[in-house]
Amino acid sequence: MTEERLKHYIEEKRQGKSHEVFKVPEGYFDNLCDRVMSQLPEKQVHTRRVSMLRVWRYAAVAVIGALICTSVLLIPRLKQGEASLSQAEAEMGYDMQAACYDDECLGEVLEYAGIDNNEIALYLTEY
Amino acid sequence: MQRDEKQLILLLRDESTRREAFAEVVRTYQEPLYRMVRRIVLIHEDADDVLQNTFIKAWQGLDKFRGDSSLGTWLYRIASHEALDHLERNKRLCASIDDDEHPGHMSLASRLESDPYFDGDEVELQLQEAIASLPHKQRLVFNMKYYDEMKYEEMSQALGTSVGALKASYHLAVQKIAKFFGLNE
Repeated sequence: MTEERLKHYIEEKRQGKSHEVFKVPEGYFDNLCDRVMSQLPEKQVHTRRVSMLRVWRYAAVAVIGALICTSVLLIPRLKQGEASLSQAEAEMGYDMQAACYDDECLGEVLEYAGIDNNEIALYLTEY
Repeated sequence: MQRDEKQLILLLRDESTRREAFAEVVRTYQEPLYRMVRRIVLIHEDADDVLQNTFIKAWQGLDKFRGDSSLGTWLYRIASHEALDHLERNKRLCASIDDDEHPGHMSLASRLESDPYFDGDEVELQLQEAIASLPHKQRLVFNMKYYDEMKYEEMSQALGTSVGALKASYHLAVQKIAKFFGLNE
């Protein structure tokens, strides 16, 4: 309603004289296209911006890939090493891992090597 | 010979014909875009700058035009953003020079009166002052609806604003202008 009143009011004020109030210099639209086209770069340059998110994504993929490769190559070798150890233990008749940490076994080894307590004390004093 | 829009879009997508097709786009849309921009920024030199920037940005963003809307709507969107940016920049510039030593920038009426390309009488000057007193986006909406008689759906596509918000904005703008002319009593 207000819109109609406003339009009516403006028309009345103009007294029926309605024309384009915003003029342009003569020939403006004839030259505008050439002026615009002369400012455009000859060929559009497509620049690819690598976002940080993409960099992190590539880094994560690389790390995961490295982990997978490591596990694929290393785990069978470790397993192979463990199997060889178990085989050696079986052949020698006792647990080598336990032997390293067991005082009783250490005593047996020293006795087997013919080293008595005096020799051990002497060895410790010299060094 | 003028091609239809579909043909024109195909030529714009082909790099060998892109430039020639873009010149046709400029020739087709230069006048309606100029009228829209001029009513926002008011002064011819400003409208000329804004319009050239609009076409340069359109050229740079051609790859982003997916054809969801018409070429005209897409260009209207770029031009309206450019015009609003221009107003914002001017506002900041005027605010920065408007101090005690520079007592106020020229009033809009004085600027329009001194513009050789403005051919309006007293009523037009008053109307332009009333429109210029609106917030920038309301000014844009008012001009598109009142002068260009655009449909709300078209405006919605061009400005990326909902139809409801545009209707409310236009209603408020009309109320303010009517008040400016003392029509609200």
